[in-house]
Order: sequence, then structure tokens, then C-alpha cells
Amino acid sequence: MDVKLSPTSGPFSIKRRPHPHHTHNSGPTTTTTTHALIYTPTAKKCRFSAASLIHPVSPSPSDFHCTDSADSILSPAVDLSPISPVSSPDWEIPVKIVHEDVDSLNSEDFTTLHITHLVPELLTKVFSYLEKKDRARVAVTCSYFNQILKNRQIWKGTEARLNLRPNQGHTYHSLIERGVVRVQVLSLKRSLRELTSHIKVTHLRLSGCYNVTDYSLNSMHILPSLVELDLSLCKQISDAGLVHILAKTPSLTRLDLGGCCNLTDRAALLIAYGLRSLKSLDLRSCYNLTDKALSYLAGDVYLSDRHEIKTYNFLARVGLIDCELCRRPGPEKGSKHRIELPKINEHTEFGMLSLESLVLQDCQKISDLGLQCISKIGTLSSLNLSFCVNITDSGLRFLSPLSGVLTELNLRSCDNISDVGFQTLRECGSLRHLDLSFCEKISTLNPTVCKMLRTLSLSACDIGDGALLGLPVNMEQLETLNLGQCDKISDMGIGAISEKCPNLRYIDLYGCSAISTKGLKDIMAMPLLKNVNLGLWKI
Amino acid sequence: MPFVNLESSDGDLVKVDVDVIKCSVTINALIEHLGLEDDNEVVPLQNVGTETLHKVLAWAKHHKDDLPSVDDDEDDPPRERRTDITTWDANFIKMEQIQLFDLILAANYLDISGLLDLGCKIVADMIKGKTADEIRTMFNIVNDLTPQEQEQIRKENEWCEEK
Repeated sequence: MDVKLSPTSGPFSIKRRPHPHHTHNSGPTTTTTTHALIYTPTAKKCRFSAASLIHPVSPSPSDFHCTDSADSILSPAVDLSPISPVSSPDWEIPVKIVHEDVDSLNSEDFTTLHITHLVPELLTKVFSYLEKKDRARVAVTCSYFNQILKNRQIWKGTEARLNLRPNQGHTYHSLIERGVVRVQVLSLKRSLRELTSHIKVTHLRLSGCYNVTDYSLNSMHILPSLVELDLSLCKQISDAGLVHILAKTPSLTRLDLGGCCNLTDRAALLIAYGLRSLKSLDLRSCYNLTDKALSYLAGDVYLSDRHEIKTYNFLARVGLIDCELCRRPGPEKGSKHRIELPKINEHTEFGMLSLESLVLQDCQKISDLGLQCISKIGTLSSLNLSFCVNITDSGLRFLSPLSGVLTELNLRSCDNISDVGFQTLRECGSLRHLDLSFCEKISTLNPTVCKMLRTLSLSACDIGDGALLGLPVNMEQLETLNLGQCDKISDMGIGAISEKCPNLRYIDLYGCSAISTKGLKDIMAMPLLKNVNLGLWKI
Repeated sequence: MPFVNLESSDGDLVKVDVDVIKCSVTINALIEHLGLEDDNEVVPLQNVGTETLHKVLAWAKHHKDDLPSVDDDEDDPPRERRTDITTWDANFIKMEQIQLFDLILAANYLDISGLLDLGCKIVADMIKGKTADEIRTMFNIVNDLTPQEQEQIRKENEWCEEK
């Protein structure tokens, strides 16, 4: 009886490449050795061929080949069609296998194991661990390595960092051949059109690229593949620039506009209109944004807002609103340079459908009212409100509708948050990560909230031993605790932590100068602790 | 059925705790599907020499209780995929190039992903930071490219040099 483990898999063969200089002139002749393992336990009368086992490193030719047929040069080396064990290869690398004609072979070339004897799949794996720079150097060592290095598997996830200049055809060709789709643009001496028309970019970073303007975004080719766009610190971008983004990137899920300080509430309106599927939106330091922006994101766009939209000339220019109203000719319908979006009228729907992460750090005009709007975005799991100094304790009450969804809340340096607000958070039962650092009005710790947290940051809060002694017993969830610069904490408080937090892995005690060696010993004795920050600690 | 006999390509028999060698998908599948109930069963490994087999077993023994590795998300940039090599592994893998290649081939043949990863990472580490000439010397690679071809390849990969 034949036992086949995986009828679909190819032969289990170890093939070794001939030494490069032996193939150089003789052309791409396939020279392979197959060592099929035939397992024949006499007692059991069953025959097992290990040849039917799945090869660990993707032996399927379709996996290995670059998708372009032009790469067929590689095929002789990865010919994985079934090989009869009786085929007589014209060479063999019998490292441990005795070859009958070993004397007739050039022993120096054939009996020593050489890097080229690693099958292409293994070299692919080796090269995928290299930095881009090292790969470039390996490519010029010999033609065999150069061919292997064109395998897209190696370049998966690689980000190209480019200075966009004229005459970069060879670079684009290389990126396409290797399947590189993540790009960071370091400088723009050329518009984005060439890059975006050649390469199906999925991740585009223009962060800090100083001359990115609304016009640069207009020059972008439509990019259905783009899922992540980073425009942080592109300070010239205005609301009009956002129009180009939503007209050209239908699949966008992550957008970083941090530090784009010209953006106004209109930008949020456009996002709530054309980028409703975003999962992550970063608006840090967009300090013109007000509570109105958040109401747009939540889908509250009133008739007056809709009417106002019609006065935005830049919308008419790209045909997003009825051009007749503005008495301007719009671009042709179905133009290849932008995607079709619904016209804005009283029935148009607005609001984020699947937003999970929202960063409003340093948007100081945001107030409690804005939080009330945010609470309508029912998918929100992570909210960063650090430095939003107008948020107060009563604002945090509005977050309770997000209970069950919200897991991460950053209130660092929200100066108006006090113990009352902390207590309010017990309504958010799903909260796991809370940052209250530099909220100097925090002096007590709510047991209910503390018990559900995995990460708690209280750096520079007004926390002393009393607060720590008041912690509930058995805070099994807590893994990370930051107490930096809480200089009122002494050994007593530390003792309480070591008793009550059995699963603590990381603790920050930077500048906690009231702790002595005794407290330190208590901490060090904790079973799961991996990392302690003791900066400024006096011994 | 706690033991299995492995026969190296040199013809030596090595008795191995099944629990140790379970990291090998190849051998594991063999045992599971054939149900080797008898301690005297012999599994011939035609591609693994005695010396290499002992190394493989030493590694397997040390990593016997490792948790099964979570599959890497291949869409992540490679630098995030990379994990540190433990001190034990680093000491274990100190060996001649030939032995290292042999070990990688054995790990591939036996389908032991942890050991395969380790071997490939070490070869990558050997390449890191070296010039093309240094790489050729280290691995005894014959340069079969014309200067024109080299220039062409260099131009193609120019973008890789951008920091």
C-alpha cells in the first residue's frame, strides 16, 4: 500500500546548483540530483515515500518565479517538475553520499559544499534577511545571485526611499521587477505623476518632504492600490489638497496629516465625505480644527454645512459638486484622472464608517463638545487627546457610549483632568491602556479602572504611597506601569505594587528618588518583571 | 513509543526521543502517518550525515520546549520580522561554512523551521556590511559578469543605497 501524505505536493528533492562557472558557457542546462527517501519497513509491508511530503520552502514554481515572464532566465534553476530518481545528472554534489565515479570529477569543485549549493529557495530566505544595501552588493557578485535577487519574495515589505528626479526609468523598472510597492519620497524635483503612474504604490510616505503642495497631490496618478498615505509635516497642504487625495485614493485606510497646520474643519468634512473607510486618521497639531471637525467625522453635517460646501470652488474644479451652481466648467465625467464620488446634496451621507484610531494630539481647540461627537464613531478603539487642554472631567463622561470598543486612551498633559475624570472612565469597561502622565491633578487611583488596565502611565502625576496602597488587590491585568518622576512614592508604595500586580513586566521609576534599596529589592523579586527604568536613581 | 531510530547517510543509527525530534515536520509526519509503534523502526535519512544529524539533534533538544512560533506576517517590513538570535543559538551556530551549509540543507530537508531560520540569518549576517569583492572572497564565488553587466546591475539597484 502506498502512503501518500500530500498528493498535491511536488517531489521532495534536494537540488544543488552547479558551480556558477560551470554553467556559464554551457547554458542553462538543468542539473539536479534527487534523493528520494524511500521508507520500506519490511514488517509493515507499507511503502512510504518522503517525496510526497510538503517541501518546507515553497517548492511550487509559481511561488518562486517572479511574475513577469521575462524572468524565465531563472527557470532552469528552479525547475521543480517531478524528477525521476533514476535520471543520471551530469554532475552531483554528493556531500555525504558516496559517488561511484568520484575520482572522475574535479574533487575540489564538487566535493566541497559551496554557498551556491543552497537551493534557490534557501538563498531567497537568506537574502530576505539582508538590508537593501547589502542586497545591492550581493547582486553584483555573480549572475546567479543577481537572478535570485529578482525574486519578489525577498523584497516583500521593502520600502524604497527615493529622491524624485528626472530620468529615473531604470529605478522604476527595478522596483516593478522586484514588486516593491512601499515608497518614501525624500525630495521632489519631479512631480509624483511619474512614480504613481509606473508603480502600484500601496504605502506612500511624503513625511517632512518640504515642497509637497496641493499641486503635487494633484499631479498624482489615480492610485487604487494605495492603503497608507503619510503627509505629516507637509505644511503647505491645504483643504484643497485633500480633495485630490479623496479623488485619487479609493482604497485608503490610513492617513497621517500630522502637523499639516493649514487644514481647517473643511478638511475633516472632506474626509467624512470621501474617505469614509479610513481606519486610522492622524490629525495631530492641526491646531485650526474645532469641535465642528469632529462632528463632521461623526457624520453630523447639517444643511447649512452642505450649502456652504457648494461655495468651495476647489470642489467644483474637480467636479465634486454640481458645476452649474458655481458656473464653472467641470472635468468630463468618467475621467481617468480621478474616481467618481457621489455629488454633495442634502441626501449625501457623511461620517466615518470604520475609524479605529484617531489622533487629535495638540488640537487645542477641541473641547468636551467634540468628545460628545466622537462618541458617535462606534468603531473607535484608540483615541489620543494628549495636550488637548480644554478637555475636562465632564467631557470624559461622553466617552461611555464607546464602552466595549475603546481600548486605548491617551490623556497625557490634559491639564484639566482630575481624579473625578479618572473615576468617570470606569464606564469604559473595555479600556486597557491609559496614559494620564503629566495630569498633575491626578492624586488618587480609581480601583475599578485600575483593575481593568494592562498599561497605566502616571508619570509626573501627584501620586504618593497612599494612592498605591489604595490599589485593589490582585491587579492581574497590569503589565506596564509608568511612575516616572512621582517622587512622593517610597518603599511602602513600591511594596504595595509588588504585592498587588503579580503580572507586571515593565515599570518606570525614573526619578523616583524616595525609593531605597529595600523597595528596589521588592521590585526586583517580582517574577515576570523584564524591564525596570531607574534613571536618576541614587544608590 | 517514545523513541525513533534515525539512520544517517553514513549508515549510523541514532536513537532519538520522539519529543525532541517533533520539531521536524518531515519526521513528525512520518511517525504520525505510519504509526511507528516499535522502537526498532529505522528512518533512513539519506541527506543527513552523522555529524550534522548530531548537531540537528543538539539544537532540537535545546529547543524542545519552545512554544510553536507564530507565523510571520510577511507583509511587514523585513526588519520587523527579524528577531534576535539568543546567546545559546549564537554559540551553537559557530562553525565552518561547509558545516553551516550542511546544517541548513539538513534543516530544510527535515523541515525544522526554527533551525532553518537561524542558519539563514547567520549566512545573512556574514554578508552584512561587506563589499561585493569581500562577499566573493568569503564564499569563493567566481564573478561571471562583464564590467558592463555589473554597471547595469549596479544602476538597477542604485535606489537600494539611499539611506
